[in-house]
Amino acid sequence: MIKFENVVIKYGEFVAMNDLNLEVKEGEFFTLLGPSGCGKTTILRSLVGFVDVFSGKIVVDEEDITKLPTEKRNISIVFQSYALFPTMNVFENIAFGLNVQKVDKEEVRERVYEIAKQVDLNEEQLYKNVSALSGGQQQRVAIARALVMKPRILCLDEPLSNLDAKLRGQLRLELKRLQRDFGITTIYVTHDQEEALTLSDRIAVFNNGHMEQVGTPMEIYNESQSEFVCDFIGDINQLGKGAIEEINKTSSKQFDVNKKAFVRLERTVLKNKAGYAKITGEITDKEYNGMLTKYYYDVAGETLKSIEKNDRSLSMEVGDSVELFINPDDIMQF
Amino acid sequence: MDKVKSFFKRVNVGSWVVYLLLAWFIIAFLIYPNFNLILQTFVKDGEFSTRAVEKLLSSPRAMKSLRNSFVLATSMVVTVNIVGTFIVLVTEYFEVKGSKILKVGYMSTLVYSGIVLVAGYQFLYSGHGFLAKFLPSIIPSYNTEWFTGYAAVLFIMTFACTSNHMIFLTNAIRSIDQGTIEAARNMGASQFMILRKVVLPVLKPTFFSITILTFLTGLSAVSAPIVVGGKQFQTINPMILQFSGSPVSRDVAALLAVILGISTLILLVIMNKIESGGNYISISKVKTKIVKQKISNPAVNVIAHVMAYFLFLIYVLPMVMVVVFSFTNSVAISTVDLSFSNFTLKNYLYLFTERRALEPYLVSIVYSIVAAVIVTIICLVASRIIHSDNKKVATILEFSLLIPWLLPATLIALGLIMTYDLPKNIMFNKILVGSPLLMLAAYVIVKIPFSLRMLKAAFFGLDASYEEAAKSMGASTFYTYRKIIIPILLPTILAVIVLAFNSLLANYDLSVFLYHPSYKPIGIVIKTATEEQSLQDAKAMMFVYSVILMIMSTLATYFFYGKNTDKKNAVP
Repeated sequence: MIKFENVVIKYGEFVAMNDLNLEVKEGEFFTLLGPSGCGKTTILRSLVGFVDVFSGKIVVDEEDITKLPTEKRNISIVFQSYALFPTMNVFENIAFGLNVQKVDKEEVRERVYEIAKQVDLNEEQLYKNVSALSGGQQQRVAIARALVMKPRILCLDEPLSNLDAKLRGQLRLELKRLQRDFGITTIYVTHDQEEALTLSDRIAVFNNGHMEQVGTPMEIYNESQSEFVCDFIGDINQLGKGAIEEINKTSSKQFDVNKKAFVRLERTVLKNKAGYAKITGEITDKEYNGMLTKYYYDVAGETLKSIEKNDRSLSMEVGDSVELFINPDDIMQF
Repeated sequence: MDKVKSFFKRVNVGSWVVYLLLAWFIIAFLIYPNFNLILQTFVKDGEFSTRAVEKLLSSPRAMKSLRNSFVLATSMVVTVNIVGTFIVLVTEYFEVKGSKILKVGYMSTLVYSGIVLVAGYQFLYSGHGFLAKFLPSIIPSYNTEWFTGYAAVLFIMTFACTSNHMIFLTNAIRSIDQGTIEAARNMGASQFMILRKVVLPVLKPTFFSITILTFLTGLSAVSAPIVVGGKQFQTINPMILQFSGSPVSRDVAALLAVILGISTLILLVIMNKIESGGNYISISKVKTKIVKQKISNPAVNVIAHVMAYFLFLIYVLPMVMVVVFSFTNSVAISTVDLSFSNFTLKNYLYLFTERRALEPYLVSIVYSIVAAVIVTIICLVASRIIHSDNKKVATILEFSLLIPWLLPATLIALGLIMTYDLPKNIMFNKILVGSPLLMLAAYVIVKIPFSLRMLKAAFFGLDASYEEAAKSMGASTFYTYRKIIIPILLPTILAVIVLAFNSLLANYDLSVFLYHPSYKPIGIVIKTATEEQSLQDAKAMMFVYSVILMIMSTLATYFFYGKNTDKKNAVP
């Protein structure tokens, strides 16, 4: 559906995206994930047509859109700031694009009402000024304004970042529902890995103007292909020389002590299973977090962490010596 | 090269027409006349010449006017800073009873300024004015002729030029963290020491800027020296006006204007340096609003109150007199007899029923509104280009449009007169001197820098996503501009039009050089009425004109500040 072929984007001499090759399938919820300044928004803006591509091609449905003006791409975007026009009411905001296309007035009304219903905006809200709406409602208007155009691709640029944590969780679910209902190919930009993991069919992780990895959320989390992805996605234990030497003593698989190795916190467990490697550590700190407790251990002079469920049977205190077990297959080394 | 190519690729035919018109305007009105003025001053018969300099040096009047201007500007730096700082301290820093009323009086110069203010002061203090007729019966030793020359000009200019203090120094004082004052007090500092060591040092950069602005105002004073300077105290601008009237001395006028321009330029560069050095910004994490300080010494407290109300009277009396005498007949004006029988509404009726009386108003209103609209359109287009296009083009455009900010109005006027008194290709061989268009062009030119700065700020404050959102929905640039950008910027656009209109309405400094004899603007009519030999009826009409101008200025100021605080359009 969407193909980025050897795409290079430059701002003067600065290379914002270097040689991107990426394919997004029809109907996919695809997330561009990465820290600030990694180039994810640049990619989204090049797809919409706000940023010129220095070299390479962007192809949508077999059509090369690299040089096509934004207004002819039929790709809608929801901005981080929503960019709702403050001089117009909700109805006028949603109808804006249809009016540009000179759609018949009655049809405009029908389509606006229909989309408003789908994003849970009532008739009264339609005639309010956008500044009179809450953050969540403004976001619905921005989505309705984008979807009413029946675009072939919907782009969302960090649309949840202006909302509080609770509303963010709520709207995340709604976004996913809307995307499923409309079956629209969606490109979502975020720096929030939790958002990316919960919403996406696939994720592309970016760092410093290049793509580090692309895959399903499970692939990205469990089979991270670079040190950056390991570190950026979720909390992780970085195993140094001392810890790797300890593991090698009881592990069926041997790891290179001169390379960095990583293992997820929840894969560092207190219960032994066949084939697991054993290491011993002393608890140096613990963080109670309601459902879970995070423990910090000193293993061969390095700090390791584990997460344990608080089921009352577990009572470990700072200073206790504890045996930890790791499945060698869960260790990622680069 | 790529940048230039992509720039040319992006602009369409419509854009090219706009670019060409803008380029023509800048060259024809902002660059060429000023360049030509310098050329005419220093080049004679195709060769570099110092004849104008020699003529200036050998003219005692011209040299004296130069000296007078610098004397006036330097004196004003002292008097305006003393008065300005005092009125800001008693309204913002110290607890003085009735400070709100005092503030209204001190701020009156925002709506009562220029030739209108000079005319009011002249009516009150001059030898044939209100006090000269009224006071000798109470104080026989009162010198009725004191209000002329250096003293009178300095007196008027001092009280006319404290607006900068009321705006900038007030804001600077308000930004002081109360915590720093309390900390000093906690450490045992006296009230005077806190003022000297904590408060005033924070205000130092603001003082520097205000001082330079005051100096510049003194240097290029026009109406006060013309009206009350008399023969013994003429400054540069009245001299330029006189010299420019004769072809023999035009080059001296031009040289004086160039000297004024260079002085302005140097001072603005210094001011820019000071400003770029930065202000003292509070480093407080949680800033506390400043609380007015009680003056602890009772004697100082009484003196401060007496001084504050005495200054209030100086500010307000001319205005009150103008309002009161606008409702009187010519007998009252000539005899200052305010008995009930001398009060009348005839002056106002005359204004609204007689075409002759209304004409100067109509001329000024038409000129001001047309100029305000043209300047807003130019600045809107320019701001848009500066905001979105090639950086080099934007920088050149912005600097070109800011040229009038660096030049005194006199120099701009003289440049236009000396350039377009003959057919020039760039003006399609049209002679502008003697045409009503000349003053309109000058009105537009002088308002560009301020309007551009306001509109540019509005453009840069605009979320770029609005335009992108509209474009992604298929809207063309023009459609986006018309339906999205202009409506969002409308409050600022209207404010710019109103402010430009308001400040041009009673313009005298430019008009005196450029007005067309058949279309006399109100500023010129008011000035004529201040002359001793003018008829009492003309003086009465001058009061009426002044009152209406004050009302319009008040409305414009209210409109501007009201709109600026209007947040209803903001999307949180």
